[in-house]
Amino acid sequence: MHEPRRILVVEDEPAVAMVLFDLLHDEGYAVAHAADGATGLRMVGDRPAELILLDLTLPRMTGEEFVRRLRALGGEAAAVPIVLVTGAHGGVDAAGRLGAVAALRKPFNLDELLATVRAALDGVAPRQR
Amino acid sequence: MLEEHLSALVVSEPTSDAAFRSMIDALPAAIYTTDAEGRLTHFNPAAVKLSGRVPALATDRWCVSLRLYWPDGTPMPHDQCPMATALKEDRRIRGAEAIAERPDGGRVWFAAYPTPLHDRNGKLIGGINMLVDITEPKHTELLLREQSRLLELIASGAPLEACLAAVCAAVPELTTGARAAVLVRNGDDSIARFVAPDLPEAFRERARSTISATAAIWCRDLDCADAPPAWRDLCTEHGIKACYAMPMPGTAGEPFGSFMMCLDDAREPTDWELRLAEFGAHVASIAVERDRATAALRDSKERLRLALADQVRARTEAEAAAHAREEFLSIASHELRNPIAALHGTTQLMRRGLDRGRLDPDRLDRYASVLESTSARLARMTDDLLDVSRLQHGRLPLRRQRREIGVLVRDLLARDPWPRHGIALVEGGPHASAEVDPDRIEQIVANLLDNAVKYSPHGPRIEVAVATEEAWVVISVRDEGIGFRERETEEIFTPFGRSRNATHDGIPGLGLGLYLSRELARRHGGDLVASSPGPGRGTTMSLRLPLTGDAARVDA
Repeated sequence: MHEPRRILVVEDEPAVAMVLFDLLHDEGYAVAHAADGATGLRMVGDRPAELILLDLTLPRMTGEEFVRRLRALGGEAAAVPIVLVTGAHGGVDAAGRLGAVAALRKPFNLDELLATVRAALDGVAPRQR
Repeated sequence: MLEEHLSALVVSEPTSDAAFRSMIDALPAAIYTTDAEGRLTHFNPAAVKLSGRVPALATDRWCVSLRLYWPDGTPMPHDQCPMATALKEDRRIRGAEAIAERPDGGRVWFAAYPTPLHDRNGKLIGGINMLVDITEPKHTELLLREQSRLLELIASGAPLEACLAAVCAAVPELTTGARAAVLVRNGDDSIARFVAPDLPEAFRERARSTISATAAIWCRDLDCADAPPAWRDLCTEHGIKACYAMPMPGTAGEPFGSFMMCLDDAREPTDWELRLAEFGAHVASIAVERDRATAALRDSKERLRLALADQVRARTEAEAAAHAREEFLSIASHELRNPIAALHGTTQLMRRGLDRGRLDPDRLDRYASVLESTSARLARMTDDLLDVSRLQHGRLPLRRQRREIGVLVRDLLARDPWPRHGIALVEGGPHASAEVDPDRIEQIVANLLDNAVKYSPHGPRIEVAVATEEAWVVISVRDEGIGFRERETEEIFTPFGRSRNATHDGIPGLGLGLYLSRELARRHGGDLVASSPGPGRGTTMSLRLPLTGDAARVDA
C-alpha cells in the first residue's frame, strides 16, 4: 500500500482552506493546513510536504516572502514544488518569478485544481491557465 | 594780455579812468579792484550780482568781504582768500576755487583770478580780481556724484527705508541749515512711510501719527497763516522754522509723497535748496518706485509660484484619485475573489459529494454554514460598495424619524448575531431622542460591533454605552482588541484605509465600513471618532448624534 502523498495548504481564508482540505482529503492525499506563512514554514521544516498550495496574500508574511524563506531552508524543503492559488492578477507572472510550477486563479475549478496537483506531484510540467 | 593792459591802465590812472571802468563794467564776470592793502577801489555790476550786496568802497576788503569757505566746506579766513594771497605773495593766481556765502545764506562757488598790479617802478599798488561763478557746474557735478551714489544704493536692493534715509542725509551734506524728510503716501492718503534721519525720533513719531499724508504738501512756509496748525506746532517745537515740500512725481503722474526741506531759519529756500529738494524728490521717487516694482515682481512671482503649486497639487490630487480608483478596483476584486472562491468551491464540493454519495449530514451542515456566512459577507461587501458609490454621487437619502437612541441600540443588541458575542450594554441613555434614519444608525452601530468582534482576536469583551453630552447623544463601543496607532486615527476613516496591524494580522475587510459609518454620521449632523491607547490596547468608537431639536436644524 502506497503512503498517501503529502500536501501543505497555506491559505488564510478559512472557507477556501476548507474547500481545498476536503477536496484533497477526499482524493486520498494527506493534507496539512497553515493559516499563515510562519506556521507553514515550521510545518515544512518539521517534515517537508511533497507539494505546497500557496496563497500569495497572507497575513504578516506575504506568499513571496514565504517562498524566499522556504528556498533559504535548503535541502529537501527548498525543493518542494509550489502551486500558487491566488485572487490577485498576475499569478502566472508571480509563478515564473518565484519558481512555482503552476498558478491557479480564484475562483478555481476543482477538477482543474486536482489535475494541476497530480501533474505537479508527477513532476510533469502541468498546463497553466 | 588783458591783465597787462589793465595793469597799464590802472597804473596810469588807477581810479578815474572812465574807459577802464566802462570796460570792466561791461564784462559778464565779477571784477573788482583793490589798493595794495586790499581795500576795494572799484567793482562791476556782475560782482554785485555774485555777492548779493553792494560793497562799500574803501572799507570792504578782499573778496568783497563775503563769508568764505574752502571747497571742502570749512571756513576760509579772509587773509587766506585768493586776492589776499595774491597781494601778500605778489603773484598771480589762476582759478582758485572757493565758496562764498551771500547775506541771504545762498552760496556761490567761484573761481578767482586775482592779479597784483604794479606801478612803472614795479611797486605793488593794488590788484584786480575776476571771480567766475562756477556754482552751476559745481552743483551739477555734486548732484551727479550724489545721484550716482544714491542710485547705486537703490539698485543694490537696499531696503527702501535705508535708501530714503540716504537721500535725506544728502541734504545737510550739501547745504547748511536744512534737514530733509520723505513722506510716502498710500493710495488712501494714509502715511506709508515717514523717513527723516536728521530729525529727532520724537518728531518722526509724532509726524507719523498727527500729520495727514496730504497736509505736508501744502506746508510751504510755517510763518504763513495757511500752515496746518498740527504741522506748525510740531515743527516749531523741534526748531524747524520753514518747511518746503516738493511733491514726488510718480511715473504714472500722480504724486505719491513729498520730499520736505526743513529749514532752521524762517526764510525762503535758496535756489540751491530748491534744486536739492527737486533732486531729493526725484531720487526718492525712484527709490519708492523701484521698491514697488520689486514688491510687484515679488508678488507676481509669488502668485506664479502659488499658481504652479496649485497646478501641481491639482495634478497630484488627480493622480491620487486615479490611483485610489485603481487601488479600489484591485482591492475590491481581490477581496471579492476569496468569498466567491469559497462559494464556488463549496458548491462544487457539494456536487461531488452528491455524485459520489459522500454527502453526509455533518458535511452538508458544514457546507451550508460556509455558504450562509460567505454569502452574507459577500452581500455586506456589495452593500458597502453600493453605499460608497451612492454617497460619492450624493444619492443616499436619509429617512429620518424621531427615535429613542437607547431603545434603538438595545433592540439591535438583542438581535442575531450579537447576543452570541456577550456584548454588555453598560449605560442605556434614557430618553435621549434624535431625528435619525434608524436603518442607517443600526448600520453604523452594527459596523462598530462587527469591527469590535473582528479586531478582538483573543475573545471580545465589548461594552456599549449610550449617554447624553450637552446637545448630543453619544453611542460608544469599546473593545479590548488590537487597537491602532495614534497617527492612524484619521487614516482608518479613509476609503480602504485600514490600520497597519489590521492588515498585518490578515483580518479581512474592504476598509469601507468606518468611512461609510462616519459619512452617515455626518449626514445626520453628527460625527464618528475613534480613539485607542495604542496597538493591542483596545479601541473606543464614539458615534455622536444631535439630540432632537438640534437635529431638526441640520439639513439632511
